[in-house]
Amino acid sequence: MIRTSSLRNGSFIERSLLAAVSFIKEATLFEEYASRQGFMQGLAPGIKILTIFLLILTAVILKDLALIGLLYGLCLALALFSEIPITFFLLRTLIFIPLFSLFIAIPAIFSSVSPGQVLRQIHIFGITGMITSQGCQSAALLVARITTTVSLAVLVSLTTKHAELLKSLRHFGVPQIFVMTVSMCYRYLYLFAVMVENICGAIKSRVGIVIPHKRGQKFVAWNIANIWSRTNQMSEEVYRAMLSRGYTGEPRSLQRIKKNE
Amino acid sequence: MNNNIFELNNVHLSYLGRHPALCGVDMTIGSGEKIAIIGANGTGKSTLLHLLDGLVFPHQGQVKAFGQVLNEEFLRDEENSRAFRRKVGLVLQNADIQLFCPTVREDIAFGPLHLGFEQDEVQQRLKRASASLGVEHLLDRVPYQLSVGEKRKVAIASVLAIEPEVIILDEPTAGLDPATIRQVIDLILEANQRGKTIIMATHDLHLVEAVADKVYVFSQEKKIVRSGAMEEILYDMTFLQEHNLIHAHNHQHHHQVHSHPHQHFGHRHE
Amino acid sequence: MALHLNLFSSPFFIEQDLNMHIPDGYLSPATCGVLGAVMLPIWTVASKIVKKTLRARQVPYLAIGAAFSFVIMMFNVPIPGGSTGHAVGGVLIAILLGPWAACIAMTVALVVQALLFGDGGITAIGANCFNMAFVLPFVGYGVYKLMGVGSPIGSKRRVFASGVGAYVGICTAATVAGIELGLQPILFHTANGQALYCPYGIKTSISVMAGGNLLVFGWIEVLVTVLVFKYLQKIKDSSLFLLGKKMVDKKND
Repeated sequence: MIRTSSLRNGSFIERSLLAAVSFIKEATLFEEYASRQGFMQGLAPGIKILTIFLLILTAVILKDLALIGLLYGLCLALALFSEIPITFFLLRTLIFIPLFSLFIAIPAIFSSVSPGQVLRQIHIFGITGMITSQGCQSAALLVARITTTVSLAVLVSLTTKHAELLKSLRHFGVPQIFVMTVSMCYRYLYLFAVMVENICGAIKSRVGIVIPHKRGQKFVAWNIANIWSRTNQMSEEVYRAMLSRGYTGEPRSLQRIKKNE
Repeated sequence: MNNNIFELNNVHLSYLGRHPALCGVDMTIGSGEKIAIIGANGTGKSTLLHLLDGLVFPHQGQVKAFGQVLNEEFLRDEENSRAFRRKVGLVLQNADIQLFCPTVREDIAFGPLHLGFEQDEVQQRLKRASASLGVEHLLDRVPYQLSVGEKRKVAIASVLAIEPEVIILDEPTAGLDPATIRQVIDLILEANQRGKTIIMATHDLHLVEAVADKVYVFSQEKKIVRSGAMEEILYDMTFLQEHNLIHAHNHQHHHQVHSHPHQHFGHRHE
Repeated sequence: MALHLNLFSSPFFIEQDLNMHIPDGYLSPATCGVLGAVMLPIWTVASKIVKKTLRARQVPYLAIGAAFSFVIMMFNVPIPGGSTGHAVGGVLIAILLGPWAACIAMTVALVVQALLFGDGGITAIGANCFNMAFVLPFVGYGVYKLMGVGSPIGSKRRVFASGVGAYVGICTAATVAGIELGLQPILFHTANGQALYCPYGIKTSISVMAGGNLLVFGWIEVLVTVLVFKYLQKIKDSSLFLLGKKMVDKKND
């Protein structure tokens, strides 16, 4: 997605750096919240995920704004009881997806998109727009639903250790080999984020701010190509590390024992 | 009865048929030995360790492990490969490669689990291995957020959990602080006393001095230039300097500069 | 200020093209269910093929391949006018891993986003996978293959083919997403005509989705794919010259 920059030409480095850094920060932060002693953290991961999934599905199916609002309230209460700082939670869930959806939903209140019973006529820049009841309803429904579902999804990933969250996918019939692949993806994503952080951090401290866009494009492409060729090598090395410890292509998982044993 | 663990006979290996990695290596490693493999960067040390662990195979020559020829065909058999991998463990140089699981617990349990031990036995081994390295408090952590020293300890624990007869270590002390190095050395010595064979590749001559009884020196030609008892090789300054294992550097003593080979070992610990 | 706020939102979604990644709530559960059901046989075939070609290597290769797709998304490229943008990389991954492996790798990446970052798309996972793990890599790879047929992997024609593949792939995937969204108000509305999900009709949805990609995002995709492909040719990357080829050849057996 394009982001217009009021800053300067070297900002693509900063944006890349930011993507890497915010991933690293978030991975650490999520891990910390997941190990707090809150209500949601105490639930068994399988049951928790099933419940949240059903709640998300309910939010998608419900047509009544008040009921969706109730669900959202429930979600905020759960976050509160799970020792998640509420300002952080609101910022993390409201910015971007719901905000963007609000922006998307605005044209839908007008009769050109949603024909129906006209509530009001407004004039902007010489254009007459007719706000319809149906338009308002469907726009509000869209935004409310998205806010609720995103909040519920973030809540579950904030209060469950990622390793357990992925392991519980097994209860839903997801094959073990896929779960193993997703877990490993996340683990190496962290390593890659550190790599990107180092590359962009080094460039940022060395090069002046103005980089002609052609050179910048080449810089980015060269680094992606370079990381790819290391990626390939890394995959082979990890395969050998697995082989060395007895892996033959059939994943086996550790059975959980009670914590107080 | 011959108690040689590894016998290498004129081993040649190259990557992609182009880049030679080992060119004619002969070696015999007996049970209970403590072997150090030294050599400058790019002399084939890591490749040799991977070869001994049955991860790569020679294109020419022969490797025998526990009296049997070690090749792709032999390891393709599930029984054989399981028996071999239960006996030989490799600690990789890069802990980020070694630790590929989502939690430390799963990483340490990975070996025993995939080598077919029962769940109870796996739990026991997990307990023993993590206790011997003092990493019990890290079990529920994610491996990628550990410090370098912690990662290395967990990597070693993940191999010790297999309880192999032969422990192969690639640069086990690189990047560690002195206290952790000491811990690793003690651990290796202790394992050896329990009868484990130790094979390690390293640049750290202190480590060689503290641990090894036999040393193999690899050259840029990717073969062994010299092998012998630790003392014999480690105290031969001219030879070590020739092979970039130590370097001359200048010291200033009372405004007089003089140069001598860089050497910080040679004083045996009591 | 914008930079500061970014730290509070998901590291990828903020940079992610919303055209391509549909959150929960835009599509009806029925649409999601149908697309999920369509994906099931595709996943089954893909996992069989991947198991045959990569064997025990499949977990590390696909996991690290999927992690790499995030690297493509992390890197922002400068474009004329002082803006920046990033590629989705689906076609590039398909060229590097082969389309079937790319299908699994993109699915893995989407699951990580939906579950671990909470970027939404939990009920929409089937729809997102259909667009980005099926349409995008297969259309893109198909075009790349067709255009590059008979030319050596190191040739200029292949570079060109990778660019066209990337452009056609992303635009097709966006159009498909546009159709899915545009069907919502037609199929799901209340008795008095109030839309229950995405309120925009098929014309608006498609023109917004496809338009954005035809004009802007598609070109970023082309830029990144072509430049990365060129560099990989230059360093004689083994996945272009060995692994990728081997996997493709085996598949054709």
